Amino acid sequence: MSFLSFFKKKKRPSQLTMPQLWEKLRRSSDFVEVSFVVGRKELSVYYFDSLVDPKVLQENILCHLQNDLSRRPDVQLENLQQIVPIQRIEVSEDPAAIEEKVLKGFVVVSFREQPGKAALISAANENLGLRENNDTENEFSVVGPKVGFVENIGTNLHLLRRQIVTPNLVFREMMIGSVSKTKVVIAYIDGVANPETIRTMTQRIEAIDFDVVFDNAIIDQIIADNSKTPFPLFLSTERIDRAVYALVSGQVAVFCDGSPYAIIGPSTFFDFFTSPEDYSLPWVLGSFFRLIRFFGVMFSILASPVYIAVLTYHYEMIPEDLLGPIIYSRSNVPFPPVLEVLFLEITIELLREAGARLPTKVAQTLGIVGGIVIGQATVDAGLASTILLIVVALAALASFTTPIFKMSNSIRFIRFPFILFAACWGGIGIAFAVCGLLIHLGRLQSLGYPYLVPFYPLRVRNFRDTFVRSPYSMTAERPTFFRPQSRFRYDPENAKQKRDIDE
Amino acid sequence: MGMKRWLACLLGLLLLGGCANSRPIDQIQIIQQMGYDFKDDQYIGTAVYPTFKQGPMTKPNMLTTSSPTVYDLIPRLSAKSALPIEEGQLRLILFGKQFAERGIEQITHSLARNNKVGSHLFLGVAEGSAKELLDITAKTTLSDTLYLPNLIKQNEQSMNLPKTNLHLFLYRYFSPGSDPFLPYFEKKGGFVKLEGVALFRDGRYVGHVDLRDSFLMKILLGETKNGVYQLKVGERGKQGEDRVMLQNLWAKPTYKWRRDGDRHVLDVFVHIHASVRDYPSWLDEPGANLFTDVKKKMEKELEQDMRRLFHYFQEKRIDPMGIGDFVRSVTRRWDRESFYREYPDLDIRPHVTVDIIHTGIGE
Amino acid sequence: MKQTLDERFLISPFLVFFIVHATQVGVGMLGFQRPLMEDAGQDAWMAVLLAGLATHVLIWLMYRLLAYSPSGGDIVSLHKHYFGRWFGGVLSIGLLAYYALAAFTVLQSYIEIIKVWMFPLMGAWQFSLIFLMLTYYVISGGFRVVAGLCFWGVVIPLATIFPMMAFAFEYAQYRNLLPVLDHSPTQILKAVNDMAFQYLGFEVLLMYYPFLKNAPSSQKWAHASNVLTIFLYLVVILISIIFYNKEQIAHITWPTLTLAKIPEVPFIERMEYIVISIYVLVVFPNLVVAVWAMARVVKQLFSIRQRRSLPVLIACLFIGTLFFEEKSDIERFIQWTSKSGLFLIGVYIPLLYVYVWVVEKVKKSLQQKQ
Repeated sequence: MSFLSFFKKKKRPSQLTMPQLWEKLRRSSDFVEVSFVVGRKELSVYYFDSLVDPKVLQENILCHLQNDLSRRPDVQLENLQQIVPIQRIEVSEDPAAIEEKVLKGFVVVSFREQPGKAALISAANENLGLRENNDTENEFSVVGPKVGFVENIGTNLHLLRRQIVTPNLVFREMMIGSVSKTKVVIAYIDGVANPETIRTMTQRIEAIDFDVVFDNAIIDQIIADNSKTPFPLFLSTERIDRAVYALVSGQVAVFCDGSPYAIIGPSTFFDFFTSPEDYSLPWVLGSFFRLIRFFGVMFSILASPVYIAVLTYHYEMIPEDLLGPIIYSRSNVPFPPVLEVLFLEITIELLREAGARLPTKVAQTLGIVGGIVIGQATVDAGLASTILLIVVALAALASFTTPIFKMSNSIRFIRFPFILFAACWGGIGIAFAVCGLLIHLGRLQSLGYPYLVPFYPLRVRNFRDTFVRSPYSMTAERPTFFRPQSRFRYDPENAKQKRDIDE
Repeated sequence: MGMKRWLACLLGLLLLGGCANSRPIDQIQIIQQMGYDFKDDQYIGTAVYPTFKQGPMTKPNMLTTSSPTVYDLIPRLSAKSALPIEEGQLRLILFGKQFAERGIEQITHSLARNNKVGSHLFLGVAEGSAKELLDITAKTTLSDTLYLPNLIKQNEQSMNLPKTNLHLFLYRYFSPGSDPFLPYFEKKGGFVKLEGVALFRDGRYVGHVDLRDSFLMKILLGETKNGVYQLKVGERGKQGEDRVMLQNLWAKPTYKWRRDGDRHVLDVFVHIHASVRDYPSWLDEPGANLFTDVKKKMEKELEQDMRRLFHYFQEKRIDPMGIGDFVRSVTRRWDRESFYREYPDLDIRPHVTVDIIHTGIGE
Repeated sequence: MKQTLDERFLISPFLVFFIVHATQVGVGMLGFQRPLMEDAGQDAWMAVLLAGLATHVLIWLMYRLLAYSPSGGDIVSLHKHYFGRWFGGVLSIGLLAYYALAAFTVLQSYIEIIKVWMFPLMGAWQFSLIFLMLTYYVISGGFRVVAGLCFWGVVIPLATIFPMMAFAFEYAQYRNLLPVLDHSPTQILKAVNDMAFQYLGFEVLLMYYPFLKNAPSSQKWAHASNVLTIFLYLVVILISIIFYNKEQIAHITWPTLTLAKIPEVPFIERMEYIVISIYVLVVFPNLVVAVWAMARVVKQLFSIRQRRSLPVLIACLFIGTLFFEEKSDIERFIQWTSKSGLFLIGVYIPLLYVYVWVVEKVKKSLQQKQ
């Protein structure tokens, strides 16, 4: 029977009584039971030693229980709120709820004379074990706040509320994960976000049936519209200002306890190319850098395939001055261009993967070794040509220009099918691959909204914030593709006031 | 299931797929210049190809082959080459004089149908045999396979050679109102020299004009911005001290076609903005009249030269200036036959105006 | 079978601008100048203009016809409504055959270009297989994705290929345009006849009409799209006239591509390879929309689900490409498509419209009598 129970899905826990509950919890050595008599009251205090903040327990709960109960002997569990200076004391008779709360760091107080009932007092030690600094390391900006979200959801919500000071900011809390019982919060601005969006997001998260929700990324993948695509369908960010901007545009943010990333949906393809730093700089510079990013991504995807296509099939396209250097650098290499490119690309991927897992002390040395020595040695040994080395290295660099890390992973991956297509059919192969990519992106939807908006479906008005970052006088209108309920962020007329010369 | 089917199809495709057509650049032999000759009933083809031994510098090498037909020459080169011959990077095709006199019709049609060559391909005619000329260039320039094409390009851009490339050649060849022409090379000492422009009629070489006349051709063909011309302006002084050097800054021809009695007259108005930097010292003497005098002399000299040139064309019954094409554009129902019957007797009157824009920074 | 579709699957009427243009411009743009200039010489641009204007009239006619179709449906339902199930079915099958012919012609003529210009040794089946596989991928995403492909098929080529035309001006001989109107009206009309085929493609609207939100309002976009097509063809023919002369062009099969040999930029030389590669994006919408229309006709007539019929149709097309590879076959197919397309648009649609109009008039007068 126990063998078969391995295959059965977990059943719902049956109802326990309170003594059974304590029995069950006693198996763990960090479960503490304290019984003592105060005045004429006999009470028991139960808690998990590993979850509770000893200071709160000692000073706020035990101290007051010991002192005040003797003076006021007739206080009931329901009135414990008058004695103990901790907010939100609940009284519950449901062992399942008590179990849940005790596992969250609550202290259970029960009076001998009121069996079956218990008071739940929050004493959780929220910040134990978390990191001290909350610098955003992966989304760094030179000019702009460097403070980001942390692994504790309470802190995150606090940081968010400080930036959006309006009662319209609504948090909706739910518990996801049968074993981890992770607290997940959906945040949106009521009156701006489309109710349809909120409903879809809520429905999808509530429908999650999973055991341990490690991180927001798991929620991201489970609720995504299409799990077969390499492209991220939800934006994930560590930065507060980015999350705030998303909420103000009508998107919905999801926070998960234990994850410093907030996922934001629905998102479009072009959201992944905007960086909060664009908004800190003058709009001309911001637009310029954004265009460089787009160009970088296109170059990154197309550089190696074009090299292969031109050198293998279309030698006529090489101008006469470049002919010499190219042929000379290729003359020592025994492989066809495809294999050369694949060799170098895979070397770079290996370097990247290894670099992510090396301890910091070794990483620097290996970076120099990998980059310079291996590259140079490869060329000298005749395994790759110098020109190709430059192309591949630049393409690799360019793929990291996207501010969101998830997208740069996708771009790294997308390059390989392009390489294969170029190797088989040259220029036409690249055209086929581009077609395939455009179709694939066109089919993607994020929370039901098309992924390639504002390009397709074409919404010319929303171009203002995609390719170029318009000056603040022109961004009064919210992007319409998320169908927000409120159209204007601020009064466009006042933003655009022009004065005459010398007025 | 759908996904698996996709992947299987794709993988099968990629594996079976054509590397059949791959021509990796280091596994082909690109030829950059090609020469065609005719000798003793055989066509001789000469190919010049680069080898990249010392770094990016190229060393020209030659391959020769012969065949009874023109089409077979390039394929026959493969018999002497370790790598497949590829003509996509061809920059220059040189015709030997004998070959050009026999007629270049076949090779022209072949080039028009060839998708691998570019439209910027240069063509030229060599006095003597193309093989010889190509040989000289290969020997004298140790590291430049593109000596001749660069020579043509440079002369077209800043000197007296009118613009020619494959596209323009085909345009003029096929046009009913125009005849083609090509640069003409000669062997001078141990070097190859651009001698002038080779003229064709019905695809056959009929003669050439020198570089001085090709300046006139260049101006008469259309708006140009460069070229130099020496003009005789006076009798004074020693031999050689009676010419000025005219540097063209901008010249534009305008053609007008009208009837004068029962004959047709073609008026050619040419307006030249010139810079005269080099002139004999006696022109420096004070007196502004000398200036206008010189100007008038220059204009007259130019008109004379042009008339001579047109006469030469009319005699040879060729029309490289495209006069037929011009007349077609101003006549309804232009008939080629009747026009060219009238052509040798056509009255062509050039009128030249020269504006001397400046004369250098000194006085 | 639902007549009105769920709003999720409809597209905004503005997108008709891209769909019509994308289906009109195809392989023809690469070689249409030759027959035109043979007939009309330097007045060929007039033929382009006239044919385009005629197309405007035909588009207007098409919209009027579709307005009569029951519950905003497509032409198959119109056939059914006015001709009954059997005869209407026969007419719709004729339409199906036409779309199949069009799809096949597009595929084969583009693959011919690839074979002649780029890969003479490669088997054509590879390209048709990839094309058809991608077609399946697009169509299985729904009409929205098909419209998206048309969007890219307009925007990207316009942004990349079109500017290359500017290089041709270096060799322009403007006097090739003179004398104007040197040809007889018969010659120009013959050229118009040759040209009309190039404007075909918008007739697929007959099938995707029910997929448009607020369909009658899309008419202005269809006309605007035709204007863009006319403009493009006009620019190309004008550039061809000033770049080539009449006799030279008789020797060139694909003048537009040969024109692409001219641009020379410091780091790339032979642009025609880039043009042919990007041309995949121009040709692909033609193919995809035609195949989509085929599947849709099958669905409307025989109620076979598109997911089932699509692989079968695509397989048929693929097998067809294996058999008809020679140049003479392709020429024949182009002739057939051209003739049947012109017949469909120039003769059948106007007749149908007249018939439907008369029927409605009679019905109304009968009702009034009652």
